[in-house]
Amino acid sequence: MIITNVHFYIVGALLFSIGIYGILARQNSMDVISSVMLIFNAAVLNFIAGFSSDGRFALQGEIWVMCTASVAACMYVLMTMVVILVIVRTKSGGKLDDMHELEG
Amino acid sequence: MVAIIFYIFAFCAVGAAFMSAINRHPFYRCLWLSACTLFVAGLCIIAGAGFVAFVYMFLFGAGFGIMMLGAAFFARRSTESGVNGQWIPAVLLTVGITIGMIFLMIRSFPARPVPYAGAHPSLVELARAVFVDYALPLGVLFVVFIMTLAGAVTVLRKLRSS
Repeated sequence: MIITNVHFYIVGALLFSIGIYGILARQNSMDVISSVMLIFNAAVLNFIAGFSSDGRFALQGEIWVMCTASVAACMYVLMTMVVILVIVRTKSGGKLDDMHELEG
Repeated sequence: MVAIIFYIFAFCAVGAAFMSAINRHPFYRCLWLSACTLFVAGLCIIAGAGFVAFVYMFLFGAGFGIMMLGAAFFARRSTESGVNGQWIPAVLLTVGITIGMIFLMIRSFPARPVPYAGAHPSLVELARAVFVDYALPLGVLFVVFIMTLAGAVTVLRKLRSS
């Protein structure tokens, strides 16, 4: 059996839909960001499959994945900022010496 | 053989994404999301993009470290809250989007075989594309990334000063 680009698209659609559910239904901001990561996974899969199925554009697919990875890196900066912000607000100004345990 | 591996990876990726969406504990949710990313990287390797899978795993591995730190920090307060009040419309919308997208993709896109590890650019071609051909768009993206960093630092400085 030959794997075609449509197989990858269907997997990407399922990942995208699950990510949409997470964005709409979850309460916590970290959960929403992790759901956005699921959508990034779907986008990467679609880029790779869509551009690889035509061999002339495989390079463009990998460039698009790098663009997606850059945006994902921005999301990680946002996530890090959320963590630091909560630590600063709850743990006496964010002093590292005062943080002995990993729980809110 | 490649088809069997594809189906195993695809099933595991979708299953891990589903578990990541419904799990209540944030740390386990991060672990399921890591598993999903691992299987998506495996699918990228099946599609012949090994370098992209490596970069993807490298970046997202670092990101998931940050996420797990946050998840462990938020663990106590996050387990008390699960889904919000609009989860039934969200499920209906998700099912509708899934069926619509799969129907649209099967009807609209011509099925072309994805070459396994063939017809893909070498690292030299990829580096030339990144640093010469697509230097300007990627430079704009890096400017966006720097602006994100600057925004994060600005918000934290305002928070500290207040």
